[in-house]
Amino acid sequence: MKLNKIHINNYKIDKERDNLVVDVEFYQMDLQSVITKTKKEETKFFIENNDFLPSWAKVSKNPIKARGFLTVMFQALLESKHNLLDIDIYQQFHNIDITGQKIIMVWFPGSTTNKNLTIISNILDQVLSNYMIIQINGDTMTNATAEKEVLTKIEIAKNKGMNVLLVSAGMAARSFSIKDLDTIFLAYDSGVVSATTQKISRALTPNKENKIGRIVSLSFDPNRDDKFDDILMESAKNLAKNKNININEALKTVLKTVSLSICTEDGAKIINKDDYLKQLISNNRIDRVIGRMADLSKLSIDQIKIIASGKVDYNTLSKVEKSEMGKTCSVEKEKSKKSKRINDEQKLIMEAKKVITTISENFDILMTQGGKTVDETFSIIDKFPKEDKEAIHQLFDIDYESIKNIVNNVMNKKLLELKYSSILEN
Amino acid sequence: MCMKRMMIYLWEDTDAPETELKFGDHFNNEDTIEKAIQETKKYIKNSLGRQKHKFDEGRIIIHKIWDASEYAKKVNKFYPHAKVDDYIRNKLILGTHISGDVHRDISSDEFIIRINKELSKNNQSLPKAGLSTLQYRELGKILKAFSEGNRIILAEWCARFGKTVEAGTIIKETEAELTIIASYVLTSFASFEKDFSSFEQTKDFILIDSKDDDYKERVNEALKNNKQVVVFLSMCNGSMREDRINFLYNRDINVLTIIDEADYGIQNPKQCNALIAAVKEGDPVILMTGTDSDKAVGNWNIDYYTSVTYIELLVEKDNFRKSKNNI
Repeated sequence: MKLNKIHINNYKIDKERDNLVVDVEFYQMDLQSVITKTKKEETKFFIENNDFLPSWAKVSKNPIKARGFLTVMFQALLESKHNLLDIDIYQQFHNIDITGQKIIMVWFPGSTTNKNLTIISNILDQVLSNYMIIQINGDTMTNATAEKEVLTKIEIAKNKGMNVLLVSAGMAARSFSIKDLDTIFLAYDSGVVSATTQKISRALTPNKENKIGRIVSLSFDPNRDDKFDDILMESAKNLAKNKNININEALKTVLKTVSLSICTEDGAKIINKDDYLKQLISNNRIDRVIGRMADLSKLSIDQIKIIASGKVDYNTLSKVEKSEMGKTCSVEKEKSKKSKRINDEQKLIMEAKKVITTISENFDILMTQGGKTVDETFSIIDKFPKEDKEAIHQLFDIDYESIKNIVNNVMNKKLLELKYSSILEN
Repeated sequence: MCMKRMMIYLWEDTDAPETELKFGDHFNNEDTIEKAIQETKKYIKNSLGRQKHKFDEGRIIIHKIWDASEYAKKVNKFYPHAKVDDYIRNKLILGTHISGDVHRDISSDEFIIRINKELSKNNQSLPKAGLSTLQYRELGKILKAFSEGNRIILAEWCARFGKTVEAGTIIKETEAELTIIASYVLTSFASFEKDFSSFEQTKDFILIDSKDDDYKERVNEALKNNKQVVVFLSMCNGSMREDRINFLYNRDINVLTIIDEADYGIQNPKQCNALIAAVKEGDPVILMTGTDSDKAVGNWNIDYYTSVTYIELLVEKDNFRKSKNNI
């Protein structure tokens, strides 16, 4: 095996292959107009301790009670009923083709039971006149047969002159390719980014030239809706690194490439980089992205534990014995312990990332000390007397040196800089 | 300058009551292979007669078109109406031959694999795999990472990146004698088999499923003959898994391990620990995943991480379109 060569001998670039990828458009739809339209009696199930808190989790838990809401929403979305222009795909999608069979998929929360998914599917079947509803779950098909069964049903629908709406809560997120599927609705509140990426990818199977995959986040609270953030920011981070450009430029390129639009009564408005950043910062979404994208792989499990505890002391953090993360020991004896350990490790990682999110959220406290960049701010604070650094420790529950360490070595500093520079600009 | 070519093709009418594939041949005379392929598509469309509209409506799937000219010459069938397709269908088992050009009881992937193998065994060169900009870049990164001493690599490559072809490029460039493709997803191997058998650079790989009864003999024989061997190892629980791992890894040569869909099942201790223990110090491992790299890591100590997001693919598509418009 040749592991020392760096030249590629057997392959060349074929630029035509770059052209095979399906274009994507992202849309954010605010469901407030649906709530307003739906009668109060029909949305009582959104009330919690006297607070009106609509969520997809509640819809999927009580689909019968949500019938009125689901009816208005999907009829407005797909059949231009109820005069809700801001969620009507025919008013919102750029250059929509109004001819031809529509193949659309809607993802409900992963926690939706099969029974409730069936109820939802039945409701949609009753209220949508020109759609064949195909429910995808373990009751109706298996992972292995899902694709074939759906293709057969799509053909039947086509022969009847009907569109198709695929309904799922998680099944068919992998190994499921329907070439004509080009629209995805994300009907859940928040999700693990990997699961969202898998779901979005269902609309990206190449088909005819000029296919566009349209991904719509159906949101009760668009300000807090972060489903697209990780995908966009991760791409910007990679672009910045690989093309050697600053992250601002990278994010601009990303947003130009995929077009993220906010749906309004006057049609979908494409959002630019500055407005997108304003959204991210004003709603603390950027901090959650920074937390989720933190790279903990260089830390030992004990160091992660310390960060996860939220009570971080630099001396302890740096001196802790490096019991390496994930080191194998005797398989036969440690099987069940290791299984638990992997789950515990995943939980610790999540906790540590939450702490990192908190650092990012409160970093503006440090920014007020001066400096135009993160490094400049640190240089200023480095010179502070011990008592002032102690005050920082009290505020953050993490000592100053650890904050520096985490920002410089664990957090994605470029994203923090992006937030920082955007705040300073505004 | 026009060139005569014997084209063979595989297509499917999605309106057929039962899944059936149609395999035929067509002798044409075009100046480039691209034009020959286009002309063959036109030929297929015209063969539909009054149902030609189905072609434009996307109801006809063209699974594959091959240039089988060298093959046809070898078997003395390089002329119009030579019926190379009949020659091949008499030679190979291609599902159930119903009549004419119709075959049932075989998937298009399996059909393609068998034709690929038949062609490459008989003088016919297959198309050379070209890489997208990002596939090429990532290949370079992996080779550089290896040359710098990195051995356990986590590659988070999005859907549509072309992970299967990319795996082939790594095997080819490193000249790995033995590669183990480990996966929890049972359909994984079929994709590798189809892609590897379709391209000139990887057509000579000996592909073996460790579930086959005679896999040990075939692995040993192929290694003895200095072939590049690729073995599929299912990581689903089973009584034979440990024996397979012991057989495959317990040898003096370097073994390249590629873990496909590394975030699905195989990251669990029951799966990954057995592999971790088996991999020798210094042997390279590539964990490929489309998402969830945190999960994919499992118990591995990662030396090097690389990722490509879908949006980056789109950026390159944009660059391609801009450069085309500038020409």
